[in-house]
Amino acid sequence: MKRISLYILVVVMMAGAGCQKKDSDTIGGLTPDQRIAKALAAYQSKLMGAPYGWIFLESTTGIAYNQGVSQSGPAITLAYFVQFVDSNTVVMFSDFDTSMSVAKSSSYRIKELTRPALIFDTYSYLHVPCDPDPAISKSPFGAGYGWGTDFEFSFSDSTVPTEAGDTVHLLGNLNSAGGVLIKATQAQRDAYYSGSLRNNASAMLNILEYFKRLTVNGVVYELRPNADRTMTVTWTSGGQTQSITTSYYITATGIVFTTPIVAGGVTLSSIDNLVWNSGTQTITATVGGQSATIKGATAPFANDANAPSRWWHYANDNGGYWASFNGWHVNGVDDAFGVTQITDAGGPFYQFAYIPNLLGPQNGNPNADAFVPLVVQNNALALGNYFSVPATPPAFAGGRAFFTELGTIGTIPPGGPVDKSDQVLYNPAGFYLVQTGTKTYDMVLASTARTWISWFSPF
Amino acid sequence: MRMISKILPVLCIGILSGMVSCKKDSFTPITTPPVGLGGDDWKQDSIDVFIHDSLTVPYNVAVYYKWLPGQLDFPTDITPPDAAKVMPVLKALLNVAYAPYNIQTGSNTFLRHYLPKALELAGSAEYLPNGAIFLGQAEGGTAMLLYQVNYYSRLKADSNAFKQMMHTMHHEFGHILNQNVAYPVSFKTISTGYTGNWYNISDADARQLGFITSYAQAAPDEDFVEMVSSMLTGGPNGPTGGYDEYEALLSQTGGPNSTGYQTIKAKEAVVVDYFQRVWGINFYSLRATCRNAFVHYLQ
Repeated sequence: MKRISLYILVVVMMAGAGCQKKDSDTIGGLTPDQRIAKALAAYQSKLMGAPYGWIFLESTTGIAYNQGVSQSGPAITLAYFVQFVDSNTVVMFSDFDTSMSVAKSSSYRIKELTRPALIFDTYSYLHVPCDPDPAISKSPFGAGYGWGTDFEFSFSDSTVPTEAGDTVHLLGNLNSAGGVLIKATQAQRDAYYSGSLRNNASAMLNILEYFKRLTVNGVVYELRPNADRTMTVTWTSGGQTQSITTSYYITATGIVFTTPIVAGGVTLSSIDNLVWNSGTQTITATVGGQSATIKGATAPFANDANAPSRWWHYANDNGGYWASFNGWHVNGVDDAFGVTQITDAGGPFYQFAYIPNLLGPQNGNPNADAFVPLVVQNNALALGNYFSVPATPPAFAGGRAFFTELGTIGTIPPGGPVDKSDQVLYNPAGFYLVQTGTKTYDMVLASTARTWISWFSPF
Repeated sequence: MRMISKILPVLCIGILSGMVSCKKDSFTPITTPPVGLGGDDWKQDSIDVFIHDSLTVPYNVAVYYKWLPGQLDFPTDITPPDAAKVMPVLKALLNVAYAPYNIQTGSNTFLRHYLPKALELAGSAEYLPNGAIFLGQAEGGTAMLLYQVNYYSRLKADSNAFKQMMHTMHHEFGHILNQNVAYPVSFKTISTGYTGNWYNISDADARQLGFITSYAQAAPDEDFVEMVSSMLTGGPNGPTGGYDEYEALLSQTGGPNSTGYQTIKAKEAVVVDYFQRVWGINFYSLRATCRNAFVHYLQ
């Protein structure tokens, strides 16, 4: 009997459930397909409903993915102006490179994926920082990785698009980069089209000196834009030198620090309206509503006197070397001597290197360093056929490093890229060394500060 | 009681199914087609018209150039093509890669039959964790994938990049032909020493070992199609350092009496025989047509 009553109970329960069944195929009378179509149309009209376009800020997580393998690197923020002009065409500006301060058109579409998605589906400014070719993206994450940015986004607001207001949030599908679309004003749009982005982005490039000083209200700050799209701001407060490094982006309004810099009671959140004046070789700008100037300087604001010795010892004591992909930067020109084009040194150029104590009794030589192009031979790195040999160690005095030539290996073609590079190294003015990261230094010619080389340690 | 306990479960199911269905409402027919049914659509422009007229109608080929999530390897950092490069690349394919087959076979029937029905384009290459990159892929006779569309140029100065792209297309189309009719098994025994570490071997070293390129050393299938594409378009890292003609590549084997030379020549014979016997195509005249098309296309 027990078993029978159990069966009856089950039958009654299930029958009850079955009989209560309601038609639940729709929500609000709409089938899933109708709801998807409606949502896509709503997002479409949301994007196109901004008459003056959108400011699009994209912030990365510092992680980039390829083939399911991740790499870590700097977290950056990029600023775009985008206008969705019809159902598939978008016009944009980008602060990624100064060449991107002119409007460019490409295509996009809104599509149903796991979530409604905004896809920039042909190549645009947005794809350059995503490009897996490091020659294109200039990404420090390595070959196969961009900067961890995205071009395929999910709409990530939990509200329906019609209620999203003037801000729409996005989340990248590959790298999880965060995106914010903020409705632009007519003034913002006009500023982009009148070249303000170009002015703000290129102003600092006019200053050929490595050291750049911002003066606001009588207070001096040193600005150092870094290769990883961060800016280091240095100032003195109560006799103490302090510095903060933060990422930044550039809009038609100005240079914006992702995290505002609090320097001795003053908060610097942006430097606006940069205008280069070639007559006075000065940038005028506004900071927090006050007028400001940016000028070049030939010496660091506060020199790191021990840096030259620290730089040399790091490579020497670890048996490593310092490497540079571009050689010397001179008067605003990267790779001023064309070292990357060297073809007669035994193979394709790879890096210029400073190798402490490469020569010594171990190879039948007096002790010496090497300032040498590295080339690719049979899929491996090799010393170039010819290079200069500085005395070891360099002289460290007055917070600078001084190099003297001991001899050469091979025959250096006179007037060639290597010869020109050597002449800079042995400049008697010596070099400041500026530590820009745990394993990166910039070596700046002390006489003019218009010549420098960026070193990184491959180890 | 025994009877009842056996019958009861059957009864239960009967009653259950009866009750569940009894309350069902009338069925609402779907009036809106599912979103995306038949593929995505977008505002048609001159590129889409060109694709329709030049590839879809004559060759029955669909070209995917806009980023389609999940179509290419995921999760991989690949970028879509620059729209401005799409038509030039397709025109080059039609003129330099496809036209020679039409000339040899007398019409577009052969390509219409065997060209994979989907041609997918990517702007960048696909980077693999081992440091190698994909320039193209062929999938089971149905899809051909061409990377690095954004690097396209038809200038003589960039002829290496142009030849690499055509090399890739002939390579992938070679796979497609094999996927329809396999090449003779005897080909696989001409060489030994196939290795997954092909990317650690230089092209010049591979030629000494009897492989026309280092990638040919990856597997017999790759070897076969590398022979096809290298004979039709030349191969990478030849004596001049760039893409050189097949004969020039052979000079890196160590000369006509070397094992490398003779191995590659034996493979050449199989390729020529395969094209003649299976497809009725004289490979040497196809090659002459291809070279002619090349020379005239570069600016």
